[in-house]
Amino acid sequence: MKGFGGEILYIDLGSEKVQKKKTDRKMVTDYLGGNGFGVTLLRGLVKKNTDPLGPKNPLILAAGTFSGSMIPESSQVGIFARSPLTGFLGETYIRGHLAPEMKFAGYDAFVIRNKSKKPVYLYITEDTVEFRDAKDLWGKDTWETEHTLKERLGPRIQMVSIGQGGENLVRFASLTHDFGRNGGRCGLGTVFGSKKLKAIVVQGSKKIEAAETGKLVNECKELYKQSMTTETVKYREYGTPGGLMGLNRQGALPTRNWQQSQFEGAEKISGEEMKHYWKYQVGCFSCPIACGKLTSFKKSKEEGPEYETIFALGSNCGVDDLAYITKANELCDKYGIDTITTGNIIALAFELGERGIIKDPQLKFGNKEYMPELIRKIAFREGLGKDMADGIVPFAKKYKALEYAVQVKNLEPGGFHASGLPAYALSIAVDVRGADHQRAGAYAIDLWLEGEKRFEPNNKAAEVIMRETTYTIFDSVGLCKHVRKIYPVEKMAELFTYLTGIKMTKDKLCEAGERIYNVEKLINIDLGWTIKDDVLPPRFLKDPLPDGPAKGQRIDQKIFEEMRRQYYLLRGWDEKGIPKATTRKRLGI
Amino acid sequence: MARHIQHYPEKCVICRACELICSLVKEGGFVPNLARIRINRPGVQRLEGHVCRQCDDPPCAKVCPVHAISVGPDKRVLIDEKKCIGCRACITGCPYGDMFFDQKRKKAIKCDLCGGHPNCIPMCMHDAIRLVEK
Repeated sequence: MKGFGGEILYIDLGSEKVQKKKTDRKMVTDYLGGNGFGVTLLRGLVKKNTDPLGPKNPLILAAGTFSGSMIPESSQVGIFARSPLTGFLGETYIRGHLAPEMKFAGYDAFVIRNKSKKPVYLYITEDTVEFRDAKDLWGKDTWETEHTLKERLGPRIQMVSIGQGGENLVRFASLTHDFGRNGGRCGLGTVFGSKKLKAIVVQGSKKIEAAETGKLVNECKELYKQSMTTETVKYREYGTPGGLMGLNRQGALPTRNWQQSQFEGAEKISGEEMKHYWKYQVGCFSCPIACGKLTSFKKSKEEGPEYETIFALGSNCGVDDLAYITKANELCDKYGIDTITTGNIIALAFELGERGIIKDPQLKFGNKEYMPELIRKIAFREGLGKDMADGIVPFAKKYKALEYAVQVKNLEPGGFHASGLPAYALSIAVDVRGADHQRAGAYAIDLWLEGEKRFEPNNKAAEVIMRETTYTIFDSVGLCKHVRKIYPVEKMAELFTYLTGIKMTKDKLCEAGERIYNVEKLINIDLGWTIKDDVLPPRFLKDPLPDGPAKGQRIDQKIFEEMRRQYYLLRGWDEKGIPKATTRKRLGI
Repeated sequence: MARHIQHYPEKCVICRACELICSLVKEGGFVPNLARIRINRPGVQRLEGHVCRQCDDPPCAKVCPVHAISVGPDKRVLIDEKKCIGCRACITGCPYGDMFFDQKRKKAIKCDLCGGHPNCIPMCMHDAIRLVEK
């Protein structure tokens, strides 16, 4: 089979020994790559008593099937472990140039076990795997680390690193790649930190060949052209922030710790406003869209901020100043902590300050000047930052304020107000990662509907499942979801066949997607998941939205339980959410 | 300089489609680290494109101990791979860093404009590489 790096690299950080295993054809047909590889490699290695910060928690990186080829927008790598933040499956994805480089070094995945005694970074080429002393890098932020390693090892290395956040075991520590691409959610950076792994550097010159090169290249050239049409205009013209004004208009923009769904300062933090500050645009490997917009304010030069960061550190904190949001973004990226979680925890802190539950007069919505200090305190576990560094639930519990924490499984939702988006509410409650907007993008289901249909809770479960399956395929072949409109599943099957030589069909891809998602569920069950974890936070259940197009909306508990019941049923799971024996047999798991 | 590919960093988004098609045409597969055009990002705000400028009086040809590099009739600077001994003098000899080395085959490699009709230029969606006369 073609199109693959060829091997899976097993690395033991304790003994500094490596092993290689040939990438197996059955693993490809059943699990595709990326997301699929990550979870099938992880399965069985983590149990209920596996300490996420201990040596037995494996760290897995898996490149997408398409990564490294010319297939546009296919640069995604997935990173997997037991999450130190949620205790469940931790996965995060990074696009840029890392997954392709893994393939050029001859690898489809890395499985990293145990921990190093001293700070170390891995330097992986097609000929060698080196465990290099990271003593002089430990304590540096991610940008300084990448600058230093590019100077030392050449500008064409591709790498991922942690900052002080990961080193200090902040439970939502992130990974930074190519300065501005981050794998933020679930604390995979924390797992790096627990293993004293400062960075992974990759560079290779092995060829990725296609089974049917002519046909593949013709498809790729056509897709490059399609990538520059109206189907992608939002990402080209504005980047991810392009969606903000629309969401605000529709009453879906989380504001002031999810108390509201419209923000009076939305225009000041919109994609349109951000455009005035662009310096230049950056794309990922084999992607001409270049949604990464490098902005320059007097305070900072940064790639981004992305939409999620703008909601989390902007509207949700009551902040309407792009310069401050960008500065906060830069600090989060450099220190290596997730912007969505950081923003949500700060928003909660602001609310608790205003309610007098935390006695700190600086804690109030809109206090943008306080954000850089809070971010630094979190990264270094100082003062209030020490309370915040383990995630939103421990923070809220400390102040007996759990009712104000908006999260599922200790992970905060992406920036779409679920109270007025029932399909999204269902999706974030049942998601294996926690409240995660990337699993299904289910807010689109609600937002596409006119009038009252948007708020209709029933009969949306099937579409949530369909989107979960599709996005699982995207995450497995390594495709970016920004181009979901030009990559129907049939197209992905065709490209899979031309690249690998393995005959793939739409049905087989969808079955693989279903299989992969069920394995994620089984991993979570091994980790102690029960139906009690698929719930919504009190704010969505109890606090009707006060204004805007979704005024009065909330998710009723009984209605939610019915949505969840429908979802489990359609998934082939029992009423407790456990995959039935028949489903497992059908999927061969 | 004769006709050569000019890279415009202010337009470039580092998608590396140019590297991909170049390596496909020259190596038969996707291997950007063997492309004859390279786009690097050494720093947050630093972007460097490297592709042979087809110098009129090429320093690489001067330092080559076996005279493997010459200027052809159409002014393209060409490497005779049969003569190349892999000494890498031309890599250091090029003041612009536009000469590259294939570690496995131990040969110097560089842009030869694909014979006159570069494959990379039509792949660039941002007009960041152009064939320019000089």
